[in-house]
Amino acid sequence: MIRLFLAAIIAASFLLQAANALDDLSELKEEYERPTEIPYPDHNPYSEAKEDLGKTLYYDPRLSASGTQSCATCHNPSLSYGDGMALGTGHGHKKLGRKSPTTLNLAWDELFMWDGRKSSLEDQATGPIEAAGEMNMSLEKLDKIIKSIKGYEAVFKKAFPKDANPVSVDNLAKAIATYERGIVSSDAPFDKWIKGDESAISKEAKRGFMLFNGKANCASCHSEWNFSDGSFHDIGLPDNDIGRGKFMPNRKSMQHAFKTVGLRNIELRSPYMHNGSLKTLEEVIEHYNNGFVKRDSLSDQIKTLNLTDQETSDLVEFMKSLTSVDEGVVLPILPQ
Amino acid sequence: MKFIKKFVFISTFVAVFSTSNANAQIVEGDAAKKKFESDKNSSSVLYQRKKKFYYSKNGADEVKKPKEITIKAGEPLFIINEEKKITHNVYDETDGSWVLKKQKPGGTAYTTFSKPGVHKLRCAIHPKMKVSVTVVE
Repeated sequence: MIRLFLAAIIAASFLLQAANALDDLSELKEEYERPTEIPYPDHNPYSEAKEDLGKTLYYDPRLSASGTQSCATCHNPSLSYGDGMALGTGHGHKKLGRKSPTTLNLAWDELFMWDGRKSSLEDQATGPIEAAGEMNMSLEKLDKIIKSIKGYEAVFKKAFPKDANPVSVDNLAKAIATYERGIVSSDAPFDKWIKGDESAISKEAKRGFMLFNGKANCASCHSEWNFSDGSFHDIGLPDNDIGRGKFMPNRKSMQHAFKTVGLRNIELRSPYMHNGSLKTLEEVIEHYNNGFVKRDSLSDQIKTLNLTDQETSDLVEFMKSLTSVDEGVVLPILPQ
Repeated sequence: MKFIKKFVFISTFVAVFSTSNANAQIVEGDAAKKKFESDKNSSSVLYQRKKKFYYSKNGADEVKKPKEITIKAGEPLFIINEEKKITHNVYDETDGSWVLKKQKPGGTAYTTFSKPGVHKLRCAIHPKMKVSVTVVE
């Protein structure tokens, strides 16, 4: 009788633990649910006309001094809104100092560019246009160019119907920002699993998800639905680029700190890091495992992980489950 | 003589754990924790939890992600890291006049503004964590 009672207690204890584990997993999955709408700011509300104008401008190489580069040259939808290279290429086909970041899923971010120096998408939109090393077009000249293309008049007017003089650099920036906010990756197998389809991802990917949120500590920065909390960290990459430290020289934590990238469709954006120095997701995990430079500014989130080969493989499988199959982009006909 | 030594010791202790500028005084570490223990139910507190600010005034219910809070000049504003594993690094973005040392979980600090004005506080590491502090007379 006593043995039966003890067996019942032990069985109940296992069931309770299993129930608690399921509750914990359920709560964890909730943190990664996709948002139901895209946030647009009050100072630049959405309209279809504005988004269409933004798309046209995004693909227009006449906004560059050479006439050959548009936003899409470096933020190409065919390459997950990046350019597939370790470092970007700018005016005169010269290599830039950092990798071109993706323009995917930016509507939820707070600061932009690797070093966070731009505080809005509107602010960021004209940066590469006027940068001498990138599109090399002064804003004064840009203003003349867009006014000289007669076909833009009607498109700007439709996007900004209340403006007396709608064709302006300021409105160009608002339109491009509006288009970029709409660049959102669609459902990945991971999202189907979050919604309850247990067959959507492999058991390796599920193990990878638990490692991501546990032993591997990835979620301390790569959290929320887009797998980035928008934070800035020195993750111990061995180069001299001080990133955000240039703009915050009296903050030790910001030296060598770069923006945490979102991981949606990350499988499609090799090579990795601000300098494109890591070619594969396995190399990325090995860096975090024990390949980082130890220095004063190193983020407190970075510690030796002691991951096994199987755990590395599971993490990679999990990251691959974040890849969506998105529709191709129909290119705009540029106004003349 | 004993009094002078005590005075010098206490002044040095406070100097080590506090920084100040013309408008804000910062106290961090054990000195801040001690003051929080005695004043928590009558103070303004910004808790840092799940990479968000939570605000409580005089021990009242917390407000999650407040956009703006109001405190009086001379009133301490406590900034406390209640995360399990995350470090924060709050600074005054308005004029960059002060920045807290990195706060690991459990870190406690307070700032006291001497004059009315508006200060935008933000975490340097997690820039989505931000709040506007209006200081009144």
